[in-house]
Amino acid sequence: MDSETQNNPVKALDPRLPKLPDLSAEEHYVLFSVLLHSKITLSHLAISLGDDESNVQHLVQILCRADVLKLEDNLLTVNPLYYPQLRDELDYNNFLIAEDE
Amino acid sequence: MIYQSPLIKSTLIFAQSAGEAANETAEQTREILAEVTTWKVTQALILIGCAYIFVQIIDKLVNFISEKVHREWRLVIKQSQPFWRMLIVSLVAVILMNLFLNLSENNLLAITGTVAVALGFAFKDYVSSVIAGLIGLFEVPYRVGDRVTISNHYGEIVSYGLRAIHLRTPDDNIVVIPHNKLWTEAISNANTGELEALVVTQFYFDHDLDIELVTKILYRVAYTSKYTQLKLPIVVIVEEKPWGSLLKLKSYPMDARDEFIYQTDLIKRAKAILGKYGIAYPKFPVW
Repeated sequence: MDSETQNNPVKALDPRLPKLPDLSAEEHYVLFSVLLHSKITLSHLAISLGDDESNVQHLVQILCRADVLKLEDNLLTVNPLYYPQLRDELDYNNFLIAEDE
Repeated sequence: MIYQSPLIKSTLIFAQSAGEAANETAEQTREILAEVTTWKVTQALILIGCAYIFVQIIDKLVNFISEKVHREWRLVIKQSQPFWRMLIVSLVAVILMNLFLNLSENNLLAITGTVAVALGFAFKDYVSSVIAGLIGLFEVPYRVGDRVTISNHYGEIVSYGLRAIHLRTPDDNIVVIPHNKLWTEAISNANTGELEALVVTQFYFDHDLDIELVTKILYRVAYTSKYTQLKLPIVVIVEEKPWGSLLKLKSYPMDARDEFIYQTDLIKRAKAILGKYGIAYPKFPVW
């Protein structure tokens, strides 16, 4: 074994998904709606939630800063890194989530 | 020899036996009561103070945790509050009795009888409320987190005390209602421990409405609301009144706490669509 390998031994990595930030009830509704539509514009999201666009925009900005939502070409999507945790979070909060096959 | 009439004799005998009985009672009381010392009184006061602080901490802790966890655990945690309160109060009562009373079998019977009579006269309503509260723990007519109507007061139960419940009304007032209402009043519970509670939203129309179209719009409004619990049924009921048609949209929000905001959302969106179709409201005022 050469000296370089001895100095830098290979370490086992345990990859983990980033932790989902704490979400409010209003943020749950926004994320559920985005997940239902896969991709959606801000104005359509506001219609889908039945809320004023400025209110929705405020929530979307918070979620984009927390990296839970992504905005690409004016379309909002949920960051796939959070899918499993978000699914559990919404399920625990009484949202309608499909059962596993 | 002094002559004593039978009346005097019997009076003397009665007085003697009364005196003996009084002595006996005093002796029994001495037997039951343990020696009261300043140290014991101090201990008792410290104990009561600690119990009060504990109850406050538990109330705050239960509320804090229940608001932090997921919705499905919120009610379960809130509902444990009466149990913890009752446990602390019972423990303190037992320790205090042990401190001040010699609790032998006979003494316990004597105390129970005396306390029952004393409480029966002095704190009839208070004891009635406490007993109703204890029975309520097992019968469960209401729990912390339930939305109930008692004596024309509607709101969410935020605390279950030894004597009374605290109800938070939609206007954010706290109403204290003693448990003894259980004996005499009807209690209407909207969600009985569940997260969802039925919301009935009423819409008023003219007799000439297109009932199929309006029913379709109301179903759609309910199905597309972000608050609707889609696992539970949505129903539209039609009633004919002299002044027009009354349509009731019955649906459940995902969280009973959202009931008023949910109702507002349904009415707001329904009115927007109904306005587009020019659907007429009743022509005569509803009295």
